[in-house]
Amino acid sequence: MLKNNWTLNTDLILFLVFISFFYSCAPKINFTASPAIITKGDSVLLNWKVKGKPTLMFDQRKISHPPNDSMEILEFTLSVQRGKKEKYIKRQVSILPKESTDEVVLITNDIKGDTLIASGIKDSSLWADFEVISISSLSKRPLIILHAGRESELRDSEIPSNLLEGTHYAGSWKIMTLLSEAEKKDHSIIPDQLEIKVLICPLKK
Amino acid sequence: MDNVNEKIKTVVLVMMENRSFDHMLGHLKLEDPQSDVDGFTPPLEKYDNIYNGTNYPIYNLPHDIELENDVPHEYNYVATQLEQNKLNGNYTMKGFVEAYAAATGPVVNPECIPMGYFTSEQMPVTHFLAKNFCVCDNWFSPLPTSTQPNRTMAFSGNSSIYKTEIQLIPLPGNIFNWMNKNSIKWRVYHDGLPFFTLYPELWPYLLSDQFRRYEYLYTDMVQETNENKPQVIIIEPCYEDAPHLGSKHPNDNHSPLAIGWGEDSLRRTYQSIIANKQQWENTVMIMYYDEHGGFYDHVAPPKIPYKTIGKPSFSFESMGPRIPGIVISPFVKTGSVCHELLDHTSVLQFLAEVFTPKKKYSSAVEQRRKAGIKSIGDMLTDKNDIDIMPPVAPTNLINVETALGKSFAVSPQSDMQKSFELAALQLIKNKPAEVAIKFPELFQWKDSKNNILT
Repeated sequence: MLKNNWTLNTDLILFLVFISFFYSCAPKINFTASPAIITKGDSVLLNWKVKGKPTLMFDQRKISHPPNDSMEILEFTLSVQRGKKEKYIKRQVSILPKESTDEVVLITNDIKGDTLIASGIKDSSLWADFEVISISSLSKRPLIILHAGRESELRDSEIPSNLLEGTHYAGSWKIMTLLSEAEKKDHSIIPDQLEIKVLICPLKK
Repeated sequence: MDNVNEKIKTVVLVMMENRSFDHMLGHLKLEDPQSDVDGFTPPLEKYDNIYNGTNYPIYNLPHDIELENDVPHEYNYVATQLEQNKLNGNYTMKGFVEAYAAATGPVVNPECIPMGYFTSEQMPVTHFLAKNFCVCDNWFSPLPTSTQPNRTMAFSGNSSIYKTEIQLIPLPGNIFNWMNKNSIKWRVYHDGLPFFTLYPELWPYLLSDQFRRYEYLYTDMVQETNENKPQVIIIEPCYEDAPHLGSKHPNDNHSPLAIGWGEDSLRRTYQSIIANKQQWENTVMIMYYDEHGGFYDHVAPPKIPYKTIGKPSFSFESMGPRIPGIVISPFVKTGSVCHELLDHTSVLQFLAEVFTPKKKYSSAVEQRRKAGIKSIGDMLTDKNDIDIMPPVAPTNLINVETALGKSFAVSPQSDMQKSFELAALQLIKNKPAEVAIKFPELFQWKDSKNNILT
């Protein structure tokens, strides 16, 4: 019995040694490119830590990116070879013009009285270096926008509002609108999301 | 339709792994706006997913290389992907990026992996099958969860499990017992260890002659006499998640695999199925995927609920996202599209219609039929325009590359490689009977080399 246990333990240890050897032979990569969004002329800092032979590949191309027709990106692919194994990580950096249009799209998630509310956070890890120039509506209904402690009303999609000018683009946003009579009666026709168009530029230091 | 069912002698099932309809076939509509397929249509912004207030568009995966990582598709992630609006109850299908971020960490790339899709050039075989046979654009996985429960539904019509975990799975009402009970001849061709290994009650079958190595498929189709031929053939690909010894490469299309391996496997299967022209005339081959694998699809799944039969049971409110399904047969119209609501139990309905016409498959499958799920048989017709001669699959080399652009698929170059080819051809010529037993795959290789399959 003792011998059987010993055999089992030895097998188990050999198995674990094999598994740890197998995985220690696999390439390992940690790779970051920051910031994730830049404007023309900015530089990008690449950091990597790998186990294996690294090869860094670079590409610059245009991708489809609403609400603009396309957006330019820098694409860095770090591939690491170790033995016969190969692993890679791709990091894309978006290049925006000095002034560009983006969208704040928020899922409708609350109703207070007869007001429909969509709220959410614009990712600070992507947008921390940008500020708002103006906002305009993408919905065919009057909207109230709350952001950075300010409020702005959008009645017409053609006319942009400057009331949020100079506020940080990243952070908490709330879009509110009155429910129509039909929506009050039938919640299934409530829109899934509310959205606005935002003209942005790099933070003016 | 009954007329057609009477003519069907062979049904072939090929279930691949983990890709959504839009990811694989959304391009059909994009590339051919006249197509009737419910795929991608401009403006493409409407498909954007939202994560942390930022839009993530769909995009064409630039290369067919192994992806950086798998895409989450367990039931909790699928709930995030469907993103049900709590005010109106709609599934918005806007949460695929959010689920990916929850599984892999913050998303920084504007081209986010679950939003990627392939084009026709990247999948010559699947595209060929779609263009020549019948695409099902309203086929959903039965449950909004992962592989194990969906495959269990596919091969029994019920499931006692609701998620994939380390487990051996019961398979109540399984297709094999059903076929045996109804004297339906069947065979499984498996490329490596079959998925059915996970079901202990199938082990007696698994270890029997009815589970046969995939390499025999082609020669069996060509050489076997009619009385020995199985009526139901199940093809098991080489699974990404199964143990592998040696250099054999998985080809089930499970992410993060490049799909080139799966394309090549599909081509070999199709070539085998059409190899016997007489048998082809009465064959229906069904190519489908177990579930969407976490990849984006734009169609909200119907709210057909299901309660697992395990204890405690688990309730799903809807089906899972759409999967690619193609029915390949002389009984479908060339380039047709089936819009009927289907799920994997549609196959079980169909098998019963063909082989036990007076008996339903099971009460569980019947319940799903009553909930609106149709049979594969609903798209078949004998007023077809497909020639008796089946169309020939594209024969070009399917190139799978690494991120560094190193190709896995190259023709023999060196003297040593050419010597192997010469030896194989001589061996087939001198010892055909023995080779058919020992190295059956060499026959398909030889026919493809001699352009017999083209």
